[in-house]
Amino acid sequence: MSLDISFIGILIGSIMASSVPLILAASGELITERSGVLNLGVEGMMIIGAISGFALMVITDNLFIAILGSMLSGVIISLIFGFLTQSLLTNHVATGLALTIFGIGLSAMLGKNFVGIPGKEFPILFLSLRESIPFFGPILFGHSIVLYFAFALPFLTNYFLKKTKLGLVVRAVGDSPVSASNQGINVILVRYCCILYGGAMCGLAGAYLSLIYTPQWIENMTAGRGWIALALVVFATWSPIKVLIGALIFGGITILQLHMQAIGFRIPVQFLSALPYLMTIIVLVVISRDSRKIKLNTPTSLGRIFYKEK
Amino acid sequence: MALYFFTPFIAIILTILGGGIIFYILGFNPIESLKFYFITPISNLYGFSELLLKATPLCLIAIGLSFCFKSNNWNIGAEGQLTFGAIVGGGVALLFYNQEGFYILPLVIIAGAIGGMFFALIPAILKTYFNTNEILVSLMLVYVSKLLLDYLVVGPWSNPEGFNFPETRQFSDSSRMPLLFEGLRIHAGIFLALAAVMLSWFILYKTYLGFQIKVSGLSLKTAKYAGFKGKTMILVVFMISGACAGLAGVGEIAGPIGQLHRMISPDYGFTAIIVAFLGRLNPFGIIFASLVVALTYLGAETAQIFLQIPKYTGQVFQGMILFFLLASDYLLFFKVKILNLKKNELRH
Amino acid sequence: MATDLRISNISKIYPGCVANDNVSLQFKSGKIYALLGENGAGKSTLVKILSGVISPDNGEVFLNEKNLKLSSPLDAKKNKIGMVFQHFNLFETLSVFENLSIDATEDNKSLRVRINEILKKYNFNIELDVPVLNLSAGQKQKVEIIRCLLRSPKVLIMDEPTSVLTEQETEELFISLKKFCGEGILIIYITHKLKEVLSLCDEVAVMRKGKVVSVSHTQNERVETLANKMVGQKLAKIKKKINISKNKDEIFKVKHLNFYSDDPFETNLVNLNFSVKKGECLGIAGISGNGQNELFQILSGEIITPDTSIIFRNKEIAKLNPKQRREYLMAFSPEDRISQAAVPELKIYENVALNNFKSSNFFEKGLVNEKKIKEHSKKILSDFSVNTDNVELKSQFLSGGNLQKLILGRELITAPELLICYNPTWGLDVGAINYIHETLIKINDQEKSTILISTDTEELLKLSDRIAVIYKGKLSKIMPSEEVTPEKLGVLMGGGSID
Repeated sequence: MSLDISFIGILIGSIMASSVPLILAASGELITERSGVLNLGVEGMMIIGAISGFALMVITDNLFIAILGSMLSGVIISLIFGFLTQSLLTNHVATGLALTIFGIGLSAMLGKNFVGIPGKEFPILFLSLRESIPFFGPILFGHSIVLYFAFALPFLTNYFLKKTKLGLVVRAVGDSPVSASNQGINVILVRYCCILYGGAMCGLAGAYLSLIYTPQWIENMTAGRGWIALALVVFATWSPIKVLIGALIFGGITILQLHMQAIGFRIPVQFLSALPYLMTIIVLVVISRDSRKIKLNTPTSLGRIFYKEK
Repeated sequence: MALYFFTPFIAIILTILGGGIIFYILGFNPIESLKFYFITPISNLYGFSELLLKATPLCLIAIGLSFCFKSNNWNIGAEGQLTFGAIVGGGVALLFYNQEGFYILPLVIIAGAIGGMFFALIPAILKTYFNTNEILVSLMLVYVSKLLLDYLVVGPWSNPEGFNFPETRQFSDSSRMPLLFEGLRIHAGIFLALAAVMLSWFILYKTYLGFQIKVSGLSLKTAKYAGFKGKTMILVVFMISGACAGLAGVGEIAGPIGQLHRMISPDYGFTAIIVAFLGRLNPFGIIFASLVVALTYLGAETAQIFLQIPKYTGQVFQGMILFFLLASDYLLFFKVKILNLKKNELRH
Repeated sequence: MATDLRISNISKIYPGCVANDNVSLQFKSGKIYALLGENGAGKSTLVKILSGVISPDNGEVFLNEKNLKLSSPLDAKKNKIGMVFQHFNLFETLSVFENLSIDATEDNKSLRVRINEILKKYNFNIELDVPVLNLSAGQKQKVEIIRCLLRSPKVLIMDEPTSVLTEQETEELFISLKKFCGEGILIIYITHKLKEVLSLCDEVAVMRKGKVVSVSHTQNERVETLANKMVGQKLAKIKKKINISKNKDEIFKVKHLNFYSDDPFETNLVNLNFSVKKGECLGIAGISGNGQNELFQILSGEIITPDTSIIFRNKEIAKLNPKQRREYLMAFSPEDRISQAAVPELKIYENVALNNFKSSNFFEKGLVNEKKIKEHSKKILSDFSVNTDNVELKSQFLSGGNLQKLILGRELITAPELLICYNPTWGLDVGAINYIHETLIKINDQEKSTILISTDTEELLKLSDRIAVIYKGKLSKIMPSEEVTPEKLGVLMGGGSID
């Protein structure tokens, strides 16, 4: 029995690890969307973060610089999106798609010389505790610092949005950019900041993949996680805590299907994998039917171009 | 107006310049690399036929999308509609895997179109009757369809003699698109694309439906005032769009591929969005744009062979084209915006 | 400390219209000032300038002799000018408290204390922790007022504050405003409602066509005198011959027209009943925003209301959409000629095709009959003297007058039995206005009927056989136009009553 329990502990630990990039990227995108900007470029920003993090690690041999650099590269690439949508007033959907396509291409180009290089071991915290405590050990201990950060992030995001003045400003801008502007809030600046923050988090999410989760560079290694993160934000109806829950469900499904494949379980894993997307659609339908519900749950100005009258 | 059709060319030129700069930064000779990208691939007949082969699905899908985009419906799930069309069309082809007959290919094609149409109806119905955001729904469905395809080719439809490879049986010859020339992969699907161009031009510019699409896209207020049936139109444009994407899917599996497997489309459904924009939602513009964008696919493959650059680099160009196009639209947008502002101020 | 606000020679010119023409006004604290005027008189522009939303081309604003630079709403806030707009600047999904705290400089705890003090002092009953979405329009306005009060304003500007309020809420508002005034806040009250001016305000400045035409004490004014100043001395009317005899058939009859909307910025319509006789022009007067938009859309079929009966030529048409109503020979000319009646990006002949009635054969079996449409368009262009004969021209290149002629021509070429138009001449030059007026008279001469919804009293008096006034979604009794004077209209439009 004790074996089973420790196995479940390890299983939960691996589910947590697989949900980290989703939490990071979705939390970042959530802030962006809360300010009224729909950035479909999550996948592109993540993959750029993944390659820059890995490349910097190889070049500098310094994981700290690598992590920081991945976030910075996420910021830089999201700046393209910010400039186009906020300063040149381009359509959010088209620009975000272009960002994803561009990011995947650019990452492959940049990563050409990094394919096949083995990654570096990322420091693991509290390794001894992980081994010594059954069940809770593998769940609570023996993870990278990024995982702990990721699990704190939804709570921090929630605190930021609900309790701080800046968070209030972000929500206000997403609710009504016109009113915000009339209140003297610099809408464009706020949105720029949220876009760049989203970029940084997506960059970090990518770096987690290439430095920690599967420490190596593989072309297109984000493998659709950016799109899942986007779905997750909708699934969570733009609430950070629900992002965490959703990410664990989505991550759990990924891990479960691996194990089910391993033990030859006959339920088609693809149906499990499709579940998150189907659930997202159902959530959308449920909140959209009632105009009040959708108003209270979605950033009202999401995806709309804001133009300041002079 | 002239500017409207001129900016795509500016975007293309800027993209090529931008590509050159990126090559230079990465340590390649920019002129040389660009030559491998944009000239080498089409310097022989085979290359040219490959260009047409890749432009065919892009053109088909973009034509369909132009109906949606023109009427302000944001269907970005063409990749899913393509996949589902391929599944339905492929399913029919597999039914007849050991039979021959002239009637099989038409059945496969029609099945594909219906499949795509059905799949596009989901976001359309949810939009019209549940007020759901079609961008998110159509996007989610892309992954659902890809997973369904994955399930089918691994599970029930996998080739019994295929050593557990994730692929179906080969289709019979009667399910395959006829090849146009010996030794080239270009197939009859191109006629479907050309027919779609003609038909869409006809519908958009010569019919009452096209007129309604145009008016609704420009001003929903006017459409309401004129008494157009808004909901029906949303359903119709999504169906057209889905059917085109479904046809593109069938064109691929019944054309160069000849069976179902996981990788039936290198994201044609997403790239076609770029094509639709670059072609200014105009049927003939889309032909041109699909050739340009197909060249980035082809160039990437050539560059991979000669320069050992990963073929994903094609997407760098595709992304850049759209960036530059959108940015150059700023000029146009600003002109329109100023006009609108004047109107508002006059009114109040 | 007394407050003294002085506006000096303010001008603001938009292409094609002078919104403020050398406006100078002086206000002192302890009084409530009314700024009165019809639509387009320039009140809103002046208010936007005072609140920093737009900048004037010319002129200055002085607060206690300090020259204010008002280049953004922040500047107005800093200078203690508070502003409650007609369209609220609230964040619907945020709670009341969050709305109030967003631009506060103090911590939440002391802010809450201060807000509660204000709530208590003025008897406002508002929960602080519910989303603004859940509040009534009156409560939302109170939130806006609290937002201003929190900054201890010297000046409080209220822009058409009662347009979204119930009678009860209006009374409450007036009590509060008088309290504020007593506390030394200078109040500027923008309105077009005459009774409110008389019951609330001490002084009144009347604006017309961008200019201040009169400043006076309200005790010297009556509803009639104010109406006269607001509407202006009308030119001698070239009134058309009244050609309606009592026993003409009723061609159009509306019964129990009710409209209820969740949107506070739409006006509910309450039990409208009226009919139009053959060859008659029924005028519907009113200041805009009193339900004309909604009425027009219901008459055209863009909005279908349940339980309403609309009989046209002995047929019930209340459930038909605009296209179907056109088949029964109705025609519509909406107020928004630029982007509703026509699409600026479309060519003239395409805009003509918007009125696709069966016998036109514009679209045969679903196909565009371009030749037919163009022929037809050419005829409209020449019959209605539009100054171009190029049907390929995009309609955005037509002047307002020519565009309106095109639209009227398009609507009239079907020889409709009833034309419903809404502000057909706003923003047009005199020549175009005359042409349109002649056209409308001609329609009546041909025994066809018209319903003219207009905010222009002069136009109504000139063209209508009978006139009713719409105010807050209710229709006054319908009067024969020979009994109607501009003063009477002004009184009714301002919410007053006659006899």
